[in-house]
Amino acid sequence: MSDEFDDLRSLFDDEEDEEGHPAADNLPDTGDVSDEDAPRLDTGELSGRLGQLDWQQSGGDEADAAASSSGLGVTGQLDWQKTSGHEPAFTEDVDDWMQEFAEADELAVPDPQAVWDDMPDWLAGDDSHDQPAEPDVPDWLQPDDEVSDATHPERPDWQEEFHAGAETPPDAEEWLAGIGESAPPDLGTALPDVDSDDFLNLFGTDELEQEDEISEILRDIGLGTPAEPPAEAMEEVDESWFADEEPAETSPELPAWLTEIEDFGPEDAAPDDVALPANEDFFSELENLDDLRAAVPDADEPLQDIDSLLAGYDTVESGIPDTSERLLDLNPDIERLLADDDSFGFAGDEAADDLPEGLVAELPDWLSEMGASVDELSAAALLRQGQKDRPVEELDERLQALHDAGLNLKPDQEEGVSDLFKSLLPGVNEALPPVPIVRAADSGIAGDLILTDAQRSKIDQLEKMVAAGRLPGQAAQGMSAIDRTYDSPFMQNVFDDAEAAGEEEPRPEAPAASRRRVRRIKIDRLLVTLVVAAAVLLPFFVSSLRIGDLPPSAFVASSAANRAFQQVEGLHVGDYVLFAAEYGPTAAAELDSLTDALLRHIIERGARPVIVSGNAVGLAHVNNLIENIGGEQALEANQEYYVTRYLAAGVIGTRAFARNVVNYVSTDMNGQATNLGVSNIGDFALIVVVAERAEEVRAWAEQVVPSASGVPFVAAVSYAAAPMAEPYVLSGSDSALPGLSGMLVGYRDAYTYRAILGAAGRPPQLLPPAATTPPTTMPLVEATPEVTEPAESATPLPPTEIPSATPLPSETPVLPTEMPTLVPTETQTPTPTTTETPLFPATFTPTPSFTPEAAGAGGLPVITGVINTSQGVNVRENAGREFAVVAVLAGRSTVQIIGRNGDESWYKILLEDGTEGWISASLVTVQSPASPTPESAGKRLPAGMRLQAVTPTPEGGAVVPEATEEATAEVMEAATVAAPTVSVGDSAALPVTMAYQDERWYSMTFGIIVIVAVITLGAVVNILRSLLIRRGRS
Amino acid sequence: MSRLGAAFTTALVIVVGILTVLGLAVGEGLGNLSLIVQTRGLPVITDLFLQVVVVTIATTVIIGIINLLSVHISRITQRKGGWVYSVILVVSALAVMVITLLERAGVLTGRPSLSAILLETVQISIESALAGLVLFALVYGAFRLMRRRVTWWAMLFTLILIILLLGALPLPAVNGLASIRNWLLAVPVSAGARGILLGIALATVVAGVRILIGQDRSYRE
Repeated sequence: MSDEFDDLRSLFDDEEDEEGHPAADNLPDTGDVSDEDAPRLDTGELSGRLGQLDWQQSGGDEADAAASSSGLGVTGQLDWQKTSGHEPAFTEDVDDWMQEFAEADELAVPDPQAVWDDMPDWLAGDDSHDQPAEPDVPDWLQPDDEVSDATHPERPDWQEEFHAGAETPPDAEEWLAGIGESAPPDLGTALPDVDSDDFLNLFGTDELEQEDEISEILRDIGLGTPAEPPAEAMEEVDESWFADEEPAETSPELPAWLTEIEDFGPEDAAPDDVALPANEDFFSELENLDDLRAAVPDADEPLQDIDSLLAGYDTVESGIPDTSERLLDLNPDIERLLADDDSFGFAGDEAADDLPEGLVAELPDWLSEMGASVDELSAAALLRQGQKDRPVEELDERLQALHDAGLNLKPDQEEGVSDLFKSLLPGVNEALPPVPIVRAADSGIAGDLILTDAQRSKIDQLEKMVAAGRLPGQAAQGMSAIDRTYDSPFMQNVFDDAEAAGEEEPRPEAPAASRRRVRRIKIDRLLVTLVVAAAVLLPFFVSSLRIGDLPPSAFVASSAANRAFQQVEGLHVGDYVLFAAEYGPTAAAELDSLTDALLRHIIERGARPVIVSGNAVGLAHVNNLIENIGGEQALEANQEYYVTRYLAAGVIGTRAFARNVVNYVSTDMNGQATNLGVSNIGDFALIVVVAERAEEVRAWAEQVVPSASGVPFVAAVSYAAAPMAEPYVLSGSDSALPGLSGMLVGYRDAYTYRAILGAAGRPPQLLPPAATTPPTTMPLVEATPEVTEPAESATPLPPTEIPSATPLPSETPVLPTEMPTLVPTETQTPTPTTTETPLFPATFTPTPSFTPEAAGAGGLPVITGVINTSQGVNVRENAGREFAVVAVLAGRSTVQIIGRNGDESWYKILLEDGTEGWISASLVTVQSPASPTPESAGKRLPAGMRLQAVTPTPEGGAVVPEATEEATAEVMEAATVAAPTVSVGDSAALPVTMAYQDERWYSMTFGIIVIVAVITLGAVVNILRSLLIRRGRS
Repeated sequence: MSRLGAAFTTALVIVVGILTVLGLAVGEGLGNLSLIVQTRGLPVITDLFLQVVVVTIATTVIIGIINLLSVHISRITQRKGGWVYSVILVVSALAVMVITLLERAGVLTGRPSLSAILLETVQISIESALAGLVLFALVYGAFRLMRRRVTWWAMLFTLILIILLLGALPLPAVNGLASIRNWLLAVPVSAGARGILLGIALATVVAGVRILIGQDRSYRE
């Protein structure tokens, strides 16, 4: 569009002659014949550079050559010229005649007689001229003998004189004297010399009258009547240009010569034998301006010609500045071009005042209207809005590649021309960097006249978006998020007074764009990182840093965590538990412990978890966890647990699952049938959700739980999700409402949960609600085995399937009583004295039915025990955690018990390799000599059976001591001690969960202390720094 | 035609939305009316709509996988920057797919499965470690909180942060702070959370009503 605009402007520039006189009162220029000093517009050269329009190209070369040589403004011929077949007669005459005008200096004031004599015959009104030449002459130049004066009441004076001169040219001298200023109109340039806006205005009207005027005017100037209304031309011209302008009912702004010829009647049209121009062709050529632009060989040269034109006006004479520099810039700074005060003198009154007299009013309309406005939009803005780039697809392949390369250009072209440019532009050694965006200087003229407020606001927005307007070298970066935060009025510096409130700390100047960015290590960041890393790592290695108390081994009775535990504890064998593992790897470190504890608890209760998840990775991860829970006795998938397929679609998928459970749980994650016996969500005994974020808890609480009335709902969430999940937790009194029956949070509850699970002989010791007594103050479990009565609701097991508590032998087993004298190391003070006592108390009375099938050495029965955890257990030199570890037993392994200490908190065991050691009694489930094999003892109840909470009585069965802190810690410490591992049975190949349980807790404790110190230090330092800055400023 | 299409789209959305709402809400909680609705088979239609959504979104996962592979394969073939990482991605993805398929086919029968080992030792470990790095960024951010400007809000934030952290410590010396921490979590934090949840619920209702009455037609964009 800009090219089109330039073409039009270059054509319309002919409107003025070289002296700046407007064309309104003259005819198109014929060259510099009146004043050689005046700059001339070499329109012939311009025409050649512009290329020829279609109607030019079809014309004869002779006419062009004549026009070029004569310096006339003939840029081409209309069709009727070239098709007349008489061009030589016409053009040669004109050529000769005008050549002399151009070459004769004295013709500045020509001799009228000489001019008249030398005038071409057809111009001199020679009736004897060959008739074939007549069609070549425009009708308005022909001797109009046939047309009566009555039909031309307003014939121009010069034409009147012209006709009169056929006989006697009384005013020839006067007329010819004016030739130097105004030559006869040349049809080759007649059309372009029409005032551009007025001409295009004609196309912009819908009025029928205007169409008639168009036809009349075009007919008068020799183009005949358009065959069709100029609708096509209207389409070609951007409607936005002139749509809002009032149609010109008259043509007051037409050039004078055009106004005068407008008065010619239809009868003045060319005779029938004259080949009129093909109007359709003309309009089609107007429509094909793109083709015309494509024919332009070099877009720079027309601009140069325009520059020569404008330079001809010169700043001295016309006040119009030389714009060649800007116009020659292929990437002009439009904003600057339009905003500079001296860019266009027409833009304001001040500049107009500087123009020579007579020139101000005669500026081309299009140039004047660059500063005008239409409905608050300047013509320049309209032009820019209408500008359209050529589609990239229309470019040839090479230019498209160049375009693509330009898009990929880096802002800084310090490295010179890339290889891509070398290949695209061979011979080009350097490429221009992208045009920097620079705020134009404030210009009252441009700002007041061209841009409206709305446009200015849009420009301001754009400048904000691209961060323009900064000085060169300043970083082009917008306000950061921190800056925007501090931009709030609520974030004023508390140490700033009112005067200093507006003063900001000077921002460090960003490095220049051309300067290579230097990465500097921030010392404070490095120090903070190192300190925090050391704080969380050292407790794993340095026991002295293990400060603080371990989490309690029991929940507070009224807590949500305890209610969650009790919900699981109330499960029965064969119950289905819907277990949603809604977390991914990022929360695995925190939530795996909770998941592991809950799944263990569910399985130990004989229930069967049905695992679902909206997180595909989390689902696979939990599948691995539950496979590991069984240890060497792997659980059977789709019998003891179920891992169903992934729930897609987030909340919607959760809702769809709640409404169609059967469809989702019918197959597992491997595509195998689960054969689950559930038909709806209400068939589950419990819903457990382990969630990383509160959104998952909300989705389940809102989409699933309402559909499962009466089904308790338990959640286990991370610390981050707890606050938003807390509102869904029901109190004890409103359990009838849908909501969370209980909630577990983070590692702390996981630790306690596992401590409860690890302690045999549940139910756990519940603490009073208000007493959050640390475990060190809790009374340890009595050494006396606690017997739990069978629950009343428990379904009696079939006798054949219940692991029967086989009575112990009638005779009291004689276990060796050792009184080992331990030799403690120097650091082990005080040295305890372990006194082994018989394994079973004296009151223990074995039943007579005992058959000593498994007799040890000496005929004594072999007392065995089974490690009641799946994790490794330490075997120590003596009864106490302060003694060294001699071995580590795998979880669920069987050991032979050969003694115990005085308070029965430690058993002495005999390992397979003959090594003796001590193991915490709380970790061993003692098997009676005639008890089932260790395998059967460790097995869970088969599915479909309800667990009878039977703890073997002392008379026959396992002695399950209570959990102690010592025992719990012993489990975890087993994994940390680098001791030879005694492999008893198959151990889990995957990492044992909850490893380093205590160390992790101590790490959290010490880490929090250090973090608080770091944050406090930073706050204090920054506050002091701010105070010092304020003091220095004051 | 476009106007007709827009009207048709809006009408379709309104009808489907009303049917879904009726099937989900009315069908479950209005006694006899619910029975009538269920008898009419409305829940079946609602379930169908939900299943369409679920299947559509699940399909996008497959499309995403295909697109991911195609993008990185094209980067490899065109030798674009960082194509080596694309090679790693494509090879890893294909390897996991092949291993999983072989396990499903019974060719690989080890326990634990190879895919499980890869998941636990590679993905879970790396992602957990990366999540752990957030700690350092948070601590450093808190350390520099008042470097730019000391404001009342920043000081309040720092104070509460310190109280919450110290209150979580299992140290007898900070039992008093633990009480403050519990109060903060139980009262202000819980109140704020409930307010946020109520706001979310109200906004959801408003958005649903706007769609049902045709006021919000963003789905056409």
